[in-house]
Amino acid sequence: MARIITQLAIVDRQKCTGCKTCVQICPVTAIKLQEEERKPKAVIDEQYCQACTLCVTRCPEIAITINSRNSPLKIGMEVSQASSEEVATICHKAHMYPDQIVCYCHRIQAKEIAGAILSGAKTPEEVSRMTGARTGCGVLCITGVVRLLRAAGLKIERAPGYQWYGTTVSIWDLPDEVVQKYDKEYYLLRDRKDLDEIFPGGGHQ
Amino acid sequence: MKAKTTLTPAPPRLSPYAIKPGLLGERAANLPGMTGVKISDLFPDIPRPISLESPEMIRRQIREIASNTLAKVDLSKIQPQDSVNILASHHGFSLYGGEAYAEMLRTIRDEVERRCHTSNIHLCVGAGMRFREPEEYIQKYELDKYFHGKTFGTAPVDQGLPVETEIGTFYVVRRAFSARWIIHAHNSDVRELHYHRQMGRLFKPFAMSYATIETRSTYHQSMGPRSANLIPRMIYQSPIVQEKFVCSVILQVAPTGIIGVDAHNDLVEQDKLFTRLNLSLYGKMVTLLGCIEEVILIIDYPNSIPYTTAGGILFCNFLNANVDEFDLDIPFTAFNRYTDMLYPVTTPLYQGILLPPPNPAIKSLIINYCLTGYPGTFFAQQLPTWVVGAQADLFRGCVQNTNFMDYAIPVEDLRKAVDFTRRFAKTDHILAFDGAAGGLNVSDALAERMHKLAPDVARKVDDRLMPKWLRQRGMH
Repeated sequence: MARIITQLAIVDRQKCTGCKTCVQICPVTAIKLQEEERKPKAVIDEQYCQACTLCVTRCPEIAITINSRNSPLKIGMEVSQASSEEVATICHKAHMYPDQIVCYCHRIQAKEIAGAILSGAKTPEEVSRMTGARTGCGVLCITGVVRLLRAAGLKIERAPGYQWYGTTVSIWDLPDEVVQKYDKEYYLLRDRKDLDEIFPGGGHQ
Repeated sequence: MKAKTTLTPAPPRLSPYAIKPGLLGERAANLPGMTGVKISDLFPDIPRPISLESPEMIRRQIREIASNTLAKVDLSKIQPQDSVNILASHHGFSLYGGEAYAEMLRTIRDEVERRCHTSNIHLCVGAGMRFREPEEYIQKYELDKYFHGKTFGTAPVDQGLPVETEIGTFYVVRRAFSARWIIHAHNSDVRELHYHRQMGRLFKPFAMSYATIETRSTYHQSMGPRSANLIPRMIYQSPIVQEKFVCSVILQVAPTGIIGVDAHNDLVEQDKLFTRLNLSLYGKMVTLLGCIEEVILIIDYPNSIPYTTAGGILFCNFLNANVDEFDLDIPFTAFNRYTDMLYPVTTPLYQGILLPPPNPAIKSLIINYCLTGYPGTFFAQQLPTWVVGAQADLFRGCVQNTNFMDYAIPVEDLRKAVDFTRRFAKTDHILAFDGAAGGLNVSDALAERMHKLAPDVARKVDDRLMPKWLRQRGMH
């Protein structure tokens, strides 16, 4: 689903101390440090900024604000560009329906993320640049994005900053000894069965 | 006995996530035909809370209770000059004005300093999805001054620290665990029952307020509606956390209000105590709300939509009240992130029996006042939703709700919204989620209905539901 971004994050050069917090957390890696009068200052690349406000709300100097763009930025993935069969295969391996929501804030679906991957996105940052996923709350959907990237056979290691750290466990790959130990208390096998019924993924061996 | 007047709703809050207090028009409690229902009249066995009459009174009571319970825990691990992080969560400050939670944190600090001879004590306040909130709370309660400048807020996008657990590597916020010792300072109210299902509720911040995005996202997207609660338990039991953990201090909350503070050195044991306690404290109120056949809801409280409260119960719990969220044989509730995943627009992808619809008793949702900073489009997609006055602009400007107003109707003022929805919803039952302490503000007709339902609900919970809930959790 296409979305038009009409806003942009702007750095107040006087307030910026070059602490790099914004650089480390930007989900589309749109921020870099540049020397200005021998001091590092954050610079935002208009080409990629989606005004998600993560940098605004973490900047310790309150040096970043949201302003109007001079020209709007269009983002979003036209799924028809990618083969629907290939999209379905990636989603299936990730235990997802193509139409299911992965990013709750912008209502971005698994098929859009799979489409971005088929169009060349190899990292969560590249997925975010193309689809807008991870640019709302910035908290909830990283796992869904990583699962789809892995289902497409891509190796996910480390983000350039603190954006994410790596792959985490899912209900489909819990160690057997843990399942035995905690199943009664935490309903592990029953949840796996119910999720298999709802999300008919093919990745589980 | 039926109350004759309404209860005082929670006051508006000055926040970047809210409309300015001056833009808030009429409150739901002031509408004609509204009345206050006291929980003590519905269920006399739910304990009476501490008095919230004045901040001084709250501080005096909490300090005494917290000091007494802390006297029973072992703090001897902490050596003179050791560093200690008191780990707090934004949720605690949203309870009944927040002063009780703030005083609990101050008391922990003072007890640690007095008994352990260290002043190297830091307060870490973890955020949810509104990353400026910890700073707001630290400033509002002057905690920076009290902690001699040793306070900081964290967010899940901050630098992570890998934690090796029995089920693999998770990530917590590095700075929260930067001290030699940690003290877990949380609250017990039932809160997001649709997520924790009262199975390990006290562990949850280890996968939320103190964790980075991978951990939180895994909890919501990659485990299951019940099994996700294994994650915070695994993090708590990890060597790195156990090496630092000193004790847990919990603000005890009931539907009636704040009822105490409990400290314990063993979180596993403390969680068992609170599992039993919360089933007993909240079971009747949650069940009663589930018996309401039809209702217009008014959101009128300074928190995001799902976290607005009525009678100590969250809006989200009412959205799920058509299923028994305490019943662990029911896998899915009407709203959790798994449900949200399967509703790309207004109808579910999967028409299976496992996914119940949102509570059909809700005939309409009127949003008079709430915070943004929580992805809430699902609510507007599923319920006929009106948004009053300046709130509509707030949603339009919220990056987490870019589609919200596509599904909601803006309306000039609260009375117009209520008059209209009353006609089309064909009900006189109105319930305000306005954070009133000790009870609920409802229409006269709903007050009468709740009083009629309460005795049967009490019997049903005592005789049938409690034994089942306890049995499902290995308790008797």
